[in-house]
Amino acid sequence: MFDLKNVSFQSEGKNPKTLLGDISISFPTGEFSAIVGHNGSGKSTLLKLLARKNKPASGQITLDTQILDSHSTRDFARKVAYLPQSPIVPAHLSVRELVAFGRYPWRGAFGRYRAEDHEKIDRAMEMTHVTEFADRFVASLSGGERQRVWLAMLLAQDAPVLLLDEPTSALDVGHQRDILQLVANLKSEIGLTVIAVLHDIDMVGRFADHILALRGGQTCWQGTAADFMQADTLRDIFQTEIGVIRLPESTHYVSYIA
Amino acid sequence: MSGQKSHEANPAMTRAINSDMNRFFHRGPTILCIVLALCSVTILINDLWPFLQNGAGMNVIFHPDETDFDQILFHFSTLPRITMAFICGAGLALAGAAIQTVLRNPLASPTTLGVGAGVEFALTVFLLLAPAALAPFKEAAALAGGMIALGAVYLIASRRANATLWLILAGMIINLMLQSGTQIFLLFNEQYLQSVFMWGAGDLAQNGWDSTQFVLPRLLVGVAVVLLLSRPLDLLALGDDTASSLGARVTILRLLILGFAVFITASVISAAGLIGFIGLAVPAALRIAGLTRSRDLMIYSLLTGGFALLCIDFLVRQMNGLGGDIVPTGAATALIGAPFIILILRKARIMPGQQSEDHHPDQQIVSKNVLSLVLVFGLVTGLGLSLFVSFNGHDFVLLTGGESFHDILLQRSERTFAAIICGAALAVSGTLIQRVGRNPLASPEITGVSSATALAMIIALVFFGFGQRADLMFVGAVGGIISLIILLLLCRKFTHTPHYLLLNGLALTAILGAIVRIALTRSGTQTSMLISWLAGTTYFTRMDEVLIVAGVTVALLIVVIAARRPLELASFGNDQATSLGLGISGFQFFIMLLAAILAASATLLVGPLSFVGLMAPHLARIAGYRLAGGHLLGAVLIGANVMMVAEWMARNLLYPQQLPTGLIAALIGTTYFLFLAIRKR
Repeated sequence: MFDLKNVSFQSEGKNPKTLLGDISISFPTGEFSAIVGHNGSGKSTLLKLLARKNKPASGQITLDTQILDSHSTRDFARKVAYLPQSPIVPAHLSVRELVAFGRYPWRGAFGRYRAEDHEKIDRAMEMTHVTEFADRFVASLSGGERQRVWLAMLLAQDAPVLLLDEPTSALDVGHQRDILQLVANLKSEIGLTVIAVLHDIDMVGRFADHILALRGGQTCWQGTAADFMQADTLRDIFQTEIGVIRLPESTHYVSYIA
Repeated sequence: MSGQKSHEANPAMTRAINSDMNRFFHRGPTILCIVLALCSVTILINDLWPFLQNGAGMNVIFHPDETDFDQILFHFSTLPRITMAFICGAGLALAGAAIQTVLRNPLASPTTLGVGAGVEFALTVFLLLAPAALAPFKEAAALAGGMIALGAVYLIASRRANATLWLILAGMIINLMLQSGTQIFLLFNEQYLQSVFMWGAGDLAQNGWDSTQFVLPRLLVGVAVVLLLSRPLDLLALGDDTASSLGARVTILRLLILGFAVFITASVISAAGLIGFIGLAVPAALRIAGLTRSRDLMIYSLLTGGFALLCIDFLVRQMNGLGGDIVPTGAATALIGAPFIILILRKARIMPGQQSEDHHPDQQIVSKNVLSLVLVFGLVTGLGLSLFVSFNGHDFVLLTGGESFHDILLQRSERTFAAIICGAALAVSGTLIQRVGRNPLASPEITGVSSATALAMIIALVFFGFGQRADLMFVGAVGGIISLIILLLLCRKFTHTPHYLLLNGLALTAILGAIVRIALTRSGTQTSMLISWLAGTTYFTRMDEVLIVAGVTVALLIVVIAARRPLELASFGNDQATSLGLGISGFQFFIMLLAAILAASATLLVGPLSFVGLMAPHLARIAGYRLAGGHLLGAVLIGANVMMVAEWMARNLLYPQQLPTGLIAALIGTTYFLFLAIRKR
């Protein structure tokens, strides 16, 4: 889906700092890829490059073999839905009105919403369990509820690729699992490609198919979830004493701080 | 000169000004100060040179030969002027440094926070109205004016999520209100116009040592107090909670320092008039150059400010030559200083603020049809009343028949329609700017579009002698659009923070202020017409002009209502809007262009000062018009209603004298904002 070739990124200003250096990677289609790494390792920066919020200093990014920049704004919005870390919440919109904007890439400024649009909006709200808030103001919701509303908007957008920047940062454990399970299900049901920046090692190990670890703006490891949940790998990525134990009667591992 | 350089990071300030602080720039403040000092010495020697040549150098400074005209001129005019320039510059820069530190705001200063305008207003009112017996209280009045203005600004801005920006915007509102207030007083006292304006424009010309003797002791007291308090000031920069846990009495300290900063400003303005931007630019520049400790900052500001104003004043003197003052120093300072704001903006990164933490109450979504009907009904009945009922000072008079029935009706309807249309146009313009700029305090008045329109017209009228209203209108419209394009170009780099648009607007407004003052000091006969137009009178409007503006307004209103969906999307912020497929930069440009055209057309009719563009969209939003389309219609209805009422009051309140509609609207608007600010507490 997304292919990066020798991509680097520099901060703006007089003394630009290289935040990402020489990254080459392919994100597989139809899989849940997680980007992990310590704070400041360039996770969000990389995701913003994919979402076209940042422009690479060098290298090339392609989406479906087409160069990223060659998409028009609207085409790109139909292909890629992006949820930033802390999206601006318009204070005056109700949940339903906000989710409805997910249809903007398809209907544009003047097109009428049809029955199918309303169906998609309703379905997106059901899947994320926000239907009960439909007529409340987004600004009056709690952080976790808001995150689910944003996710509903992204689902209404109906794009084959979801880019999520820490989509579960404000959620309690139950909702973290729900959301990631939902994303994982969507991936298998409708073949979405998901690329998410995630923090929680165990959640990554549980739900992600493919993992990319960054350290200091460089690729430091990539592979499958099973390989990821190994004490050596984790120690290497996070530079912290981490151990893993295998859960009894299960193939899953959980991590602990040694 | 203190050579201390602080390497201690001052968290709040470094957060506010995130300039690159490498070692070279640490030497910046010293170099800047020394260069300006050398220039000042050169200027002094240059002025003294003729006397030094014939060995009268010492004489002319201390005991001039009273038979020699040149020596008298130097001793009683040039030398006190140089001294005054230094004192005023030093005082204002110090006051600015203190205010900036106390309020933790790199754009605060006596002029941007309304202190200058407050002092000026108080003094103007005092000079024109107070009986001679009250003369000893002149200073108290000036001080009170400054403090009240600052207090009002602080009241509006405090407890907001993004206080840095609100403070500046509140300052602009208070500034505009007080300036229009000053103008209205002058309008009714035309005989003093010329001299008061000369003073108001910051005239440093001296004819003796009186002013120096007035300002110097006051400045010394102020400087002593502020410097004594400079150590606790560093604590304030850490934030209120930290400071009070370290044992500083935050509130008292803050009030004391602000009080003395205002005292210094009031003294300087009483003696020399409004000299803008020294108080803003000097401390800001020094801080960008690497000064962070408040005591160092103040000492450097004192010296640098003094030398800087001395140098600027020298340039002004050269421009004016011998033929008296054409350009007052204060106005020239603003002209030089305003572009500097833009420079500061490029260096200083003002944080757009965290997302506001306020928990919105869970309101019901209600239809606004009833309210809209009431507003339409109000507009229609109000129109009838406005056309047929007037007030002659004692009674309400109903217009019935009579010889001049048609003439009076025509005249009244011209003015009433002009007001209504302007209200609508400004409301649409304001709604667009507030929505696209994602800032509830933005408006055409504040982004400088109105100012630029007025500026273009004034330049055309005063400096190039355009007399025809049609020509002037064209020039004004072009001016408004050019200003907008300049603003957008300046702000292109700041696509993520629409706030810069507003702050650049502040610079534009300041430039307008300076040029208006210069124009008014030299325009003679047209002055009074200019002032009343600036204050927003509908007196000069003609029906055909009203119809053109009405056509433009209706057409553009239809366009933006059709585009209400992307307009709503714009409130998601640029990143999100792009993610959803809206080419946001192009769209923003388009909307801002429409807003500028609307603002310019309205300004042509009623001048730049009305607050309708700020107030109407704000009120509409509070009344519950949430979505873009409804917001636009609600704002239009409210704007039209407010302007209609303002126009009726302007015609009838002081009958037979006519007040400018824009000013009445401005008074309604600012009162509303003060009320809002107080209620929020």
